[in-house]
Amino acid sequence: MKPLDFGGSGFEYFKIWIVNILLILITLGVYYPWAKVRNQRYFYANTTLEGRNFEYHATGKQLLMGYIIAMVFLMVVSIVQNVSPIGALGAFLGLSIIIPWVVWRSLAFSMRMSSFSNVRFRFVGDLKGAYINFMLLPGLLLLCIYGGPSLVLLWLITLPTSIGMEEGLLIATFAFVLIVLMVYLFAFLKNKNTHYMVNGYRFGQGQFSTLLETQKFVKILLKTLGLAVLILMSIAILTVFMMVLAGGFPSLLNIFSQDASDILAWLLRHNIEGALGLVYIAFLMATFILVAYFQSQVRQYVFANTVLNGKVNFSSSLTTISLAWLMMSNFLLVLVTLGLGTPWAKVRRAKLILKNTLVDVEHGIDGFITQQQDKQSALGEQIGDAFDVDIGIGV
Amino acid sequence: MIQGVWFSQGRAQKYDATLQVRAQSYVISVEGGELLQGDLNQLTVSDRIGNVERKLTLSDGSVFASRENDAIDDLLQANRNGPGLIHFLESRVAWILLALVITIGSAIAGFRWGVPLASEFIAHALPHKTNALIANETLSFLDEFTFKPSQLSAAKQNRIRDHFRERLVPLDEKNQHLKYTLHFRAWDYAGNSIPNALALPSGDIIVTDQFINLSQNQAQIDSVLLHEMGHVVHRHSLQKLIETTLIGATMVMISGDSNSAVDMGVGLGSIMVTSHYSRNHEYEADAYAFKKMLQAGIDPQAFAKVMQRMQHFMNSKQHGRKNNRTAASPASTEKPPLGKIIDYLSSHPSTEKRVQQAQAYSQCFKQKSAACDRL
Ligand SMILES: [Zn+2]
Repeated sequence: MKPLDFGGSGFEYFKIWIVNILLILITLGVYYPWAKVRNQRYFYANTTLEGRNFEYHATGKQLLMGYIIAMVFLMVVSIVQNVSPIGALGAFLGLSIIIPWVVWRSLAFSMRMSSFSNVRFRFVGDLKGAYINFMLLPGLLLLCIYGGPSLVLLWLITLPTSIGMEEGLLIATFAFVLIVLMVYLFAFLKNKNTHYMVNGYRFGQGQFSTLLETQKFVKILLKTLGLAVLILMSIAILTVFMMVLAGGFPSLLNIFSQDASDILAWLLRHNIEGALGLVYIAFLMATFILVAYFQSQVRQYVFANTVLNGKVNFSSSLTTISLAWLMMSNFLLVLVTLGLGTPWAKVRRAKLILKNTLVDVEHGIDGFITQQQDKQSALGEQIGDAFDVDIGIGV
Repeated sequence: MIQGVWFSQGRAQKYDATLQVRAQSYVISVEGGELLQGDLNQLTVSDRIGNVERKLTLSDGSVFASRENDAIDDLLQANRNGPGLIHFLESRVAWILLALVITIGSAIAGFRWGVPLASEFIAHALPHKTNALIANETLSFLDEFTFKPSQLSAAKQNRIRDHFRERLVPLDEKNQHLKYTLHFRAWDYAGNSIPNALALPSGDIIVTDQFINLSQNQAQIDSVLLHEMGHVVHRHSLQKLIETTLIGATMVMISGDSNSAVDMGVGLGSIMVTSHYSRNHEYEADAYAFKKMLQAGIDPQAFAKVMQRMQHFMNSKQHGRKNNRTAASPASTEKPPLGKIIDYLSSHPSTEKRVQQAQAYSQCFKQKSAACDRL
């Protein structure tokens, strides 16, 4: 197993980045597709494995048309959303019908425009799969998230008097079932999505294949949720502790009888904005840790179970702590430099992630050959690209 | 001589190779003895980016790749356009610094003056029909989900409406084509009756029962109605729509394919910028109201008074702070409790500041001086 390497540097990328922004400003946005190409080329070409590198082949001209269509489309959607509430609903429905197609074309385009060691990638997943994975399953999950609670609310409204023991128990059971269903559905969606994409990738004549189990995703998700509860509890304890330190908070026991708005009112009365700021930062850090845990675990599992052409294996050594630290430090870096540190943040991210992406090169890469690709209308693909549907290969 | 590798078309296998240029032609010698040669013009050379490997594509589709960027540039310089303008910019630190200054300068100037000016210009350049279009369904939507019918007596409604039509509407001489309509509604939220007034771009102005009940005299009602007329005259709804769209597009371009951490910063930035615009709209509407009040002989103190009354009412009623999301309301004026940060994020200026302005106008109202023009 050999790790990928990122050869770029923060300052070198900073120069490219700042010139990009300058030209975008001067041209009032028209330069954006070319800027994007330079950006992509820098990151692809600096990604190497055993002296061979990736390449991004799309040109600014190729992207321009799709980019214009995407911009006009986004403006229309944003205006329609603001003009009327019914329009907003229509825009949402319209988008959810178009998005799977866009994602599908975008996957095909960005794969076709990528190569490693002079051999092109492809994506051969079908449109039906795209609709199942990017419309049907997410729709079901949304239905679960919004539909369930609405049902409870509707039912509560029809109840004549206050809630008794029995109703409370019923609601609790319903909520429990709903949460279990949501966790399972989310894991199922994640599994299906990964399947659809990875099994659709081709490298030359080589096929990527993966076989994953929903159960494992459920496990990762449950562990993440457990971690979330743990972290939230420690933040809560910390908050109470700080309140007591700040002085004057009733007695500790009282807290539990008070509702959240009373605690907030107390905080405001005592004007401890600093403490609130700390709690906010704590929440932010907690989010980073949870996201890092989930992502690194899923990555490890997917990579370990993916194989190219039946013999090239992959593995991820990305750990929760290193990813969480990266996210936190990058966040601070970008914040403190008012955005000017962004290039360094991106380079740091690429370096860490690629260093922890391992490929088995024992069987050699020399045998791979670019396959003929049928030229379909490129428009949809370019639109997808302009919408920034992110599906990097190294990451 | 340039060292590199050579790939035949579409194949992953690489061979060591060297490139030599003589006059107008190139020779690539591949390990194993194969020689490829041809005219320099037949080579497609990729643009230089940083110091990444350069690809020279031959007419047969095979590729010569090398990291000796400077040598390749030198070779091509004599024959063709060299490394390209963009890389020239990227490789000059002085240029970079200039780019940096221009970028930051124009970003600040753009957000501070450019976007509001452009939106104002566009908003006023668009036909009045556009305004009606935005407002089209808003009132019926609000009636459906937010408002209830007014409980005020028809007599009282008519008295206020007549006064509005006869005394206030004529003050707006410049916009005779505008059709102002006054609506009365009740608005209950979380068990409280909310005092508020809002203007739709079409000229529909809605006042809530609680606002009428809280105001003590006609002057106070007038001051708020004039403020709402100010929003209509300045086409603030349309401006806001354009501003939001412009900022959104700019932010998307700046962040590009960013990650979540960058997005968070960008999101916070755009909230700050757009709420800055909203606050300016409020000041603009206030100023409009004050000027018209002077013109009509109403003491601007009335505005200060009614603002304070509404703020006091909201403070006494509200426990948890809710963000009043209705645009163009002078009444959601409770002072944001979290100090300066939230003050800056809030879309409405603090009541204190607005009261101060009103009092400044009131001063010169009492002195009957012309000094108000300069306020
Ligand atoms: Zn207002």
